[in-house]
Formats: sequence, C-alpha cells, structure tokens
Amino acid sequence: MLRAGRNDTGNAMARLDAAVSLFWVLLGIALCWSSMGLGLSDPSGPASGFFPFLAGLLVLGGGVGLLLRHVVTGGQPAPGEEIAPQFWEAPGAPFRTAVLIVVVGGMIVAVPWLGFALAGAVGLPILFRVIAPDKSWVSAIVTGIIAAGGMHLLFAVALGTPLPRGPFGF
Amino acid sequence: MDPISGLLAGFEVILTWQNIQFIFIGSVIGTLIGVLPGIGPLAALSLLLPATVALPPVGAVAMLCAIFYGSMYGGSITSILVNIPGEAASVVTCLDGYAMAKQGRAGAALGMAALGSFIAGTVGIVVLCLAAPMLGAFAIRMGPPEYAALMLLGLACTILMIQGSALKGAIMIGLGAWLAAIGMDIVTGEFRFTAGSVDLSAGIELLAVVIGLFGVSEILLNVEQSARGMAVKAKLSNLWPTRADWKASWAPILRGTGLGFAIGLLPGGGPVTASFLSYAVERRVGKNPETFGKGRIEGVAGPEAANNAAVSSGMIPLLSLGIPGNAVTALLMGALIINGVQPGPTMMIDRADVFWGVIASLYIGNVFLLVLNLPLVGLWVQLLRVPYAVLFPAILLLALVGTYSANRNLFDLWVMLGFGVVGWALRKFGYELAPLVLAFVLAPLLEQSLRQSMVMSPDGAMIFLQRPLAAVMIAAAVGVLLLVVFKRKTTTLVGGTA
Repeated sequence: MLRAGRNDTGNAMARLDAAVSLFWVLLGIALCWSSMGLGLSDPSGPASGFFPFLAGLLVLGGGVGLLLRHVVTGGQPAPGEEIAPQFWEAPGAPFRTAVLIVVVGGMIVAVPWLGFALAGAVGLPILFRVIAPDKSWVSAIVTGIIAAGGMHLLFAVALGTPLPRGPFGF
Repeated sequence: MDPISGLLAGFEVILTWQNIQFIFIGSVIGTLIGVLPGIGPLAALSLLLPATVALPPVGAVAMLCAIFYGSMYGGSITSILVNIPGEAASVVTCLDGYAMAKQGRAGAALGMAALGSFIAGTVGIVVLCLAAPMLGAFAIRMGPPEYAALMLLGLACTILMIQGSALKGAIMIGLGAWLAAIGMDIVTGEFRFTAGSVDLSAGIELLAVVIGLFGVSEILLNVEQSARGMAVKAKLSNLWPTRADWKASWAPILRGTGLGFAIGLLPGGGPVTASFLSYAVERRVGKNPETFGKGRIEGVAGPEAANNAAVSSGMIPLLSLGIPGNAVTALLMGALIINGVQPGPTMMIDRADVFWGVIASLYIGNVFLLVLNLPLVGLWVQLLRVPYAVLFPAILLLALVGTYSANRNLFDLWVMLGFGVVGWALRKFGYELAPLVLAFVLAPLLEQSLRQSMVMSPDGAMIFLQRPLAAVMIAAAVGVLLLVVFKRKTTTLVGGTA
C-alpha cells in the first residue's frame, strides 16, 4: 500500500474514502436510533441499548470527524495512514477478486448437497486457473482433487469432525 | 502454587506424546507461515484456529502459541535470503540480514537470528513464569468495578496502538463493540439487532469474524496481484556464528530481550514495535551507525531477540488478567474461550493445568524451533518455490472447513466470507482491523462488568470512584486518551495532518 497522492487516482480514492465516512455517519445514526428503542437505562442501571448506543456514538463521531477532516485537508490522509493509491491496483484484479468471491459463495451454497470434499474438488480448480491462468486445466483439476482430498482426510478422518457429505458418501 | 511447582506441573501436563506432537506440528506450520511472504501470523492463526477446536485445550493453545513463535522465527529466513519479510516484525531484519547475505554471510545472519530468538524467547518465558502468577494473584481480588475499569483501560490502549488515523481506529472499536452486542442480551434476555434472524440470535461467531477479517481479506489482497514463487540465490554455509559475531551480538540480544519484553507487556505493544525500536536503539548505541543497513550483525541479533521476547511477555496480561494486548493475543484468548477456558486471574486456580501447561509448552516450542530452524533452513528455503496459485485456494478451503467444523453452522461460512470482503475493502482505505477484533472480545466483558457494578452499587456510577483501584485504572484510561490526543497534535504540528 502507498500513501495516497494528489493525482487523479489519489483523488478518486479520497472521494471513495469520504463516501465510506458518510456511510459510517449513517450507520452511527441508525445504531443510536435502534439502541434508544432498546432502552438506555432502567432502575438497576444501563439497559440493553446503552452499550450499543455508545458504540453507535463512536461510529458516528468517527465518521463525522473523518468527513470534517476530508473537508479541511482536501482528502489528505493522516500521518501513518496507508490508503491504496487506487482501488484496483493490478490489471485483472476485479475479475480475479469477483471470481474468488463468487466461487467461494458457490461452494458454500453447494456444501449441503455436495459435501466439502466434492464442493472443493469442483471449486478449487476454477480458483487455481483464475489465479494462475498459465497452468493447464488438467493440473488445476488434479491439484484441486488432491487439496480437497487432503482437507477431507485432515478434518473428517484424522480429527473426526462430522462434515456434510455428498452423494458419494464423502 | 509457586512458579517452580507450577512449572513442574505444567511440564507434567505438556510432556505427553500427543501434546508434543501438537507443539511440533505448530512449530512446523508457524515456520512455514513465517517463511512464505503474504500470509502473516495473524492471518495464519485465524485460518488455523478452527483446526484446533477438536483438540484438548492445552494442546490447542500450545499448538497456536507454537505457530505464533514459529512465524516469528521463520519470518527472518525470507528477510535475510530474499529481502522480503515473511511477516511484519521481520521487516527490519531485511536491512542488515539481506546485506549480510549479499556479502556471503547468510549462514551467520540466519544462525544469529535463530539463536538470538531462542535466547530471548527463553529469558522471556522465565520472566513470564514469575510475573504472570504474581499479577494473577493480585488480580484475583478484583471485583466487577475493577474489571470494568480494566476493560476500559484495555480499550483506551487499543486506540494508542493505532498507527494510522485515530478516527478510523475509533470507528473500528465502535463497530467491534456493536457487532459483539448482536444477539441475546444475557442480562435481560432481549434480542438486539438480530432483525428476526435465528442465526443471529446467538450472536456473531468470533472465529468466523477473525478468519474473514484477517485470513480471507489477506487472500483477496494477495490474489489481486499475480504473485509467484521466488528464486533464492544466497548460498548457505556456516550457520553457527563466529566468536566475533557473538562478541558483537551478545549485548544487542540482551538489550533486545529487555526492550521486547517491556514493549510486549504494554497493551498495543507487540513484536513489530519491539523489533523496530530495538533496531533504532542498536543504531543509536552502536559504533559507526552509518554502517547499519550494510550488513551489521547487531541489526539482526537485536530486533530478532526483541520480537521473540515481546511474544512471551504478551502472554502475561492475557493469562493473568484476561486482557489481550494485541490482535494475536486476542485470537489466543478466543481459542481459550472456544475451548471452554476463560483467561484471567481465576484461570490459575480453575484451570491450573492449562495455565502452566501453556507456559511449559512455550519452552518446548522454543527448543523445537531452534532445532527446526538451524539444520533445516535449506528445506524452508525450498518452500518459497510453492506457487501461490496452489497455496491460496487450498487455504481458503481450509478456512471454510475449519469455520464450519467449529459450530457446524453454514451461516458462519457466510459470516466469514462477508467479513472477508468487508475487511479487504476496509484495508484498502487504511482501516486497521485489530482494534475491531479487540473491541469485539473486550466489549462484552466490559458491558457485563459495568452492569454488574451498577447493580451492586447503591450510589450508581460513583462506585468507580469509591473503589481506589478502579479509580486509578479509569484515570489511567483517561490519561491514555489524552496521550493519544497529545501525540496526534504533536505529529500534526511537526508536519502532517491529524
């Protein structure tokens, strides 16, 4: 990570950073509001909403402070603050990141039906290929099967963890 | 139980074939993690935490401690040989370690790094043995008001440890405290922020949060880059340092040990700060400071000793007070809680086996690591050639299986993925995630102690001022917050933005 500069990409990140700060302000308001609904105090002392209210105040205060800092300094980061120079730093990064999230999400959806071993054997080769496109599909599939099998042996066999099983019984 | 009897009892607990295996496996995995750049000890511990859920408490925590120690040892290998720190605490080792490697003295640098770490680790554990029970015996007299004040002090110190924006750190603390409040209020039985979800009624699982925030986000950041394995050119020979190396290094090792131990005790202090400070001290006290960075063995010996000593002393507030000083000890605290052990003053009495067993395991782990690091350094170097394309997806599957195995709940997997994406995005904007985890762990304890204090107090919040120890700790917390404000203002005046 690099310190954000004052170039175009740095400005874009500063604007995004301000948008995130605005999100904290809104979240803080929502938290304080919901916490008041839970009650802040009762005869014995703090009620259920007291602590989350304080947490909400901290989020709200921090968000407001960041927005003010953005206005005063024109989006300059604080000393020691490491903001990426741009959101996507490498070519192809959005694709690789999106595929990773979608494949992992797909594996979670598939686990109850396929089990971890089979879901891993299907999902991992896709991830291998996305991260290292120069590798062949054959090596990706073989590596995926070995990795998923190893994980099954470690958790289900060696540690005896009851894991969801697929149609083939593992 | 006095420290000697306690330690002997601890060795009795730990010296079983099974526990020795766990420590050995932890040492190997830790060294491996330290060697491979990209995955730090925090991400590794969070990813491997679920694998220890099925183990007995002593074995589980001993294995995690060995992983942490191992990553500290292993981190120096890549720093010295390829100028890439395996983890953050080894950054300064790159400066003189890599310069030594280029001069054909990689063996001496690696040897001194391992031996310095071993000496500091051993001294640190001896002091831990003596200090933790004393602090614990004192803390056992504390009631809910003192605990509430102590947690408050812990949270205040969390702000002190923030390197970047204090405002962003405060937001992370607030977010962590709110996330910890989700679920059923244990005092009133009321559901908070569950939106009617049954899955959220028991709260958010710590394990899923830390694996997502540190493990998955780390992988997402690495996957963005097209990382590959790397080639090592440095030749390895004569791992045992010469007489001249020892003469130059003994004082930096001792200074590093003392400094690292002191830094590790402080909330927010840790191996990274310790190693940087040790390097700064060595440069200041050493002859010809201009030659630092050009292959001075003192620049390797001091920081390596400091980061290992800090690891040992970081265990003192955790084991004796139940206060994690940094994100790694927060994770170890999570591991103890998951295994049904509540760290804190009563742990020495209620679970003396775990308390002393963990301390004894640190001795064993230190010996294993010395043995693993010196003769097998060539093997570790070969592991740098493992392609990341294989490593990261396999680690992701490990995270999925491990997270599920803790509670056998698919919802935890979505929590893990969600926090992974959130953590990845937050890191791009300079948000530090450790304060979130510390708040997530400390806030429920603070809330519980605070409410218990208010129930037992006829004078409301005055109880915190009527009890001297609580009052002192609250004053200390206020002092810490003022220190943060003063520090930031000074930085701004010196040149920068707040």
